[in-house]
Amino acid sequence: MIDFVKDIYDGMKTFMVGMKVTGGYLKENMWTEGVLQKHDDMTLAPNTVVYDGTVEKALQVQVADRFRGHLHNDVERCIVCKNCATACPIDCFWIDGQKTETGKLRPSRFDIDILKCMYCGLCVVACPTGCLTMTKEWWGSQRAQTGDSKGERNNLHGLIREFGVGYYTREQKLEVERKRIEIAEAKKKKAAEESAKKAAAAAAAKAAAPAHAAGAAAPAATAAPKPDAVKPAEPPKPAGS
Amino acid sequence: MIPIFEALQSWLQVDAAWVWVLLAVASLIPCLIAFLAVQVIAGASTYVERKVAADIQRRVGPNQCNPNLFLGVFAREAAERGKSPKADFGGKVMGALLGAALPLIDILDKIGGRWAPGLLIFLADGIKLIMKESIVPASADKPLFKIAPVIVLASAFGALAALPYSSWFYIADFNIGIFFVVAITSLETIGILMAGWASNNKWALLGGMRSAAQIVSYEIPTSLAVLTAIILAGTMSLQGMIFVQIGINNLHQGWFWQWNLFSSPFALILAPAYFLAALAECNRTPFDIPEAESELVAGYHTEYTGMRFAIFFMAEYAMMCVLSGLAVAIFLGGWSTGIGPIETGFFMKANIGEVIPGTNQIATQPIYHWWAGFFHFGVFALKTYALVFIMMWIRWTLPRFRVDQMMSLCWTKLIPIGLFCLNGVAIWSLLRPYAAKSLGGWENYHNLVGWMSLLVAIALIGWVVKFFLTPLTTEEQERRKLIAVANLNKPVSSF
Repeated sequence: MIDFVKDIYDGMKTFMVGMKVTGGYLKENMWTEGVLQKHDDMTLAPNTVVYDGTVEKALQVQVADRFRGHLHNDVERCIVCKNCATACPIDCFWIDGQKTETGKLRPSRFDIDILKCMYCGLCVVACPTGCLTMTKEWWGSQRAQTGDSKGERNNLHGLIREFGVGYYTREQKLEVERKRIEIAEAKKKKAAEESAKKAAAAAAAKAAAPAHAAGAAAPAATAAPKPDAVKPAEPPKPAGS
Repeated sequence: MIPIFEALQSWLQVDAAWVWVLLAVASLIPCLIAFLAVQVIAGASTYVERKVAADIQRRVGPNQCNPNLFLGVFAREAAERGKSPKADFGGKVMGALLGAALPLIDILDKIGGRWAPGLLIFLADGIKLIMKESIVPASADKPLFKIAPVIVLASAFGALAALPYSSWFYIADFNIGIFFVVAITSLETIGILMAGWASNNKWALLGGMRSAAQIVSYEIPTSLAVLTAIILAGTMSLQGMIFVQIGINNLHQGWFWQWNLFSSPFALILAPAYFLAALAECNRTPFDIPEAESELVAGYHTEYTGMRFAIFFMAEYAMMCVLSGLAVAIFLGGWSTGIGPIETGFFMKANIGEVIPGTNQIATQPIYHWWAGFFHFGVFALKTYALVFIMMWIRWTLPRFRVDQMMSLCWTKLIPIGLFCLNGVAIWSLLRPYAAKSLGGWENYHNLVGWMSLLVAIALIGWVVKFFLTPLTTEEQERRKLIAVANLNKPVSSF
């Protein structure tokens, strides 16, 4: 009986507190400029910001206390237990470990594919050391175009967030990436050269061929009238034969 | 009926058959008015709902569809075309008319754009829904599929007939009015189940089944609350209930603490229970499991498009209004203003109401001025819409219940409370004559109960006002700010 009453009391109390929180927002926005605006004026309720595309503007946006933004891994505390990778429903983690001189396991590679990540936060719950957190950062597309890494991140690789200490530092990774790109470009160049050579050869062939063709066409052209000229003369042939 | 019939026949000097036809046509008029009112209320409610949602979530909400943008463009175009020499006669007339309406549209825009930006979005929505194709799935049970939305709307719409709108201005005052409303609103289940079955879609069927289970369960607490109100009032007529709540010829006549909500502790417990059950009955959040978007695609109206879908929506908002109106009528004094001197001195023409001795039932009803009806209608509409507004507020506060949680809330919480309060009220009304006798007469009893109700009302209203006016504690606010700042300054990756 006491439990019954207490249950109802708790339910009503939490319900009223919830109503108070939403009611506060309601009161805040109902009779302020947010509502009393003209329709052509876009200065607005707090959660709507005219975004001009700068990080400064993005930083001004007040997000909720428990907002789930991009993931951040504090690599120094990470123990490579891979609980996050197990918890992740869509497998967006790529984790490798490496033993340091002191014998501790450290992530040599801790990559999160932001393209796949759905910001569910299950990995953060699973993390035993609390090193994996969700930041309030949400302007990922903007970061891809600003800062020192301008232009480098506008590709699929840019949608992977890289953490990790170990044999591949960020610079090394970038170098590897650069080398890969160089090799690819060299290959491309080679291919282009080859194709250019081929094209040149083909062009040469073509250049020869058109002359040939022209030579062939010219007699054809000259020969073309011939049948016409011959035709009238031909019918008599069978007749003659 | 019969006196009207005879009077009409003698006045018009026609056959009885013509009088019947006339009466049938005349009875269609309130139906049409109510039907149009339902559409406008449903449309406006969608706008209010979107604005409330936007305010709670700190968004802007609809703000683009203003009179000038929605009507003005069309009117300007028509006026300009009407001026051109090529225009035919009809074009000129239309152009002149709409051109003349332009100043009005501008005024509307100034008012609407300032106080209700985006108000006409519901007209745009309605036009869009009417113009959309209404698809009937090939494998659907076609007659049932087509008739289901009509039944759902009819149940909400039929209940509107019995609501007490004002002192003289109402469609019908049945002597079983409240029973009629409870009975006809539960007809909605049949329509929803029919829609779920006829769609030939597993989500729709699940939604329909859930709705049936839900409404069958929640009918019980609703009915228990209604029964309590019936015992308190001693009548099932909704108008009669309101006259009881106004009170007859005692010190507290017309004051708001005479309302059922404050006058009995059991009603005070039951009113929130009734409101919760009403939420569940009109399938609103947090009890909207029949159309849970995250589980069933859209529940029972998954397969519906165009106007048939709109009819379901209209029915939902009409049902909200009906159940809120019923709550107002049985707990919140209906159309009475709640201020004694205004009610008795200003609105009443002749205060001839009398109580049946020994009870609080009404023998003769007081007579009101004809114009008081409009004020009363306004008061009723305000109270009803306040409850509808609270329903919307709850919708954007609470998440959805799970099915078993919802059922356990009904069967283990609301029904025991309802039964307890029903028994309490029954004993209360049994003991009433003895209390009156020991106090030395009914007048003393009514006075005493009135003063006690006043105390309860002051305590309750004061508590609610205090609760909502005190802001969150400064500690709480500081904590929130600290968290926000800490999160903002958190090192992001060196990416």
